[in-house]
Amino acid sequence: MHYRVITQAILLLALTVLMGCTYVGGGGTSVDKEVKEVKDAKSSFVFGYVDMADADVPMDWALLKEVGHNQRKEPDHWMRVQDGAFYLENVQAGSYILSEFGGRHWSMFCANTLVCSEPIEYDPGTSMRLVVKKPGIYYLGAFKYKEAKTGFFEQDKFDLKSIDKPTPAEVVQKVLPATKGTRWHDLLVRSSFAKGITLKGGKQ
Amino acid sequence: MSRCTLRWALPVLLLAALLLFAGCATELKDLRTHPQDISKLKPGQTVLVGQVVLDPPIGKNEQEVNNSIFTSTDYKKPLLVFDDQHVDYSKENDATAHAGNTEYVSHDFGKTFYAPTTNHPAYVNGLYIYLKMNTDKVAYDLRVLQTDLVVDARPGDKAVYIGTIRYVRNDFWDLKKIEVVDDYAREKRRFKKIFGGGVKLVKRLAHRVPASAAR
Repeated sequence: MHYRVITQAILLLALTVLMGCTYVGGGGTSVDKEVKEVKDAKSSFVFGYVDMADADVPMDWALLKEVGHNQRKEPDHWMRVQDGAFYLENVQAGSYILSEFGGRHWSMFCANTLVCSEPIEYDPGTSMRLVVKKPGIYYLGAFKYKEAKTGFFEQDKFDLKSIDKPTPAEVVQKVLPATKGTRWHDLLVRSSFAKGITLKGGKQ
Repeated sequence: MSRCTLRWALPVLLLAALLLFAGCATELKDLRTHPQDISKLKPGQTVLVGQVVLDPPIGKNEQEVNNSIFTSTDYKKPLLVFDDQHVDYSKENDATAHAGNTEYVSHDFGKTFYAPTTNHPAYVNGLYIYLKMNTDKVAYDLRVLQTDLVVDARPGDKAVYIGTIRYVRNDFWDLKKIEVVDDYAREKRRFKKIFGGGVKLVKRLAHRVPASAAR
């Protein structure tokens, strides 16, 4: 009798999940965390960090978009994301903004089902920007996500506050494992942003 | 900076953007295509003559606009917005609460427009540039260049030359400079050629909105 009740409960739960669960499309594109080898002598590495502790979702994706008069035909570059750090190798010279970041969360009673996974996108406008001129390592900075106060009928808003912690070196530490085996690893370690970091074995 | 879920926010934003120009504002037809209409101007109408220049111009990959079948406006072209009062588009409440006599001209950069307005004076509040508009995917990307100029057009004026408004921007669409260039001699010749010598083109260059009229 006891097992029958448990079995029925499991079946009911499975049915709820199978019939009432939807994955809402849209949102960004998550890409591999592993960095590829340096493509050519003109390439740069771009990285940064957003503390999403106060956001509804952790960061699953980030979009680096080329902008401006000389924008190329395919301006969108999905960045790699790891623990709040976002990074991308082989970025060519140009003007860029972090045009979007976001993640997914589970929500009740959405998309005409009981539960669904829906994307939440954050649009920082042109506040996170950089101009890549010469080949090198470029740091967009570290920011803290904060909800901003809005009126009842207003769209949700947020602020990105520049923060000192993590330091650039600490963000480099987050990114380094993904660069293992590529020349980007050495370039990152030798960059001014890595100042003060200690690698395994005591090397800097 | 805004946060949105895809399901609701984008359609609402696009609808708001389209409503602004499709329903609440009047598109001024360019008299260049109907030069005979200059003799049919209603009392209180004044033809504004001028140009808009963007420096650097929009790059070949910078704009991706598919016009909606629901409106006649060509959103590939910049929209120069005129009004009967000063509106600061950087102040959100100012822009949404505003209910003046909004008119706009949709016109190519670097070409002269001949737009009959009913605003006296005519405040040149902003330049709207759609970088992206896709009605299928319900998405748009709009840049508004706050302009803060005014043309001292008077109800008795038939045609007023306002100058070439030159916007200098960077790759991130920060406005570096707005200047009004006086090309009156050239435009006076063109005006006479298109409309004949019956209507006088008065020079009243657009200038900064005085502090007393600014919001």
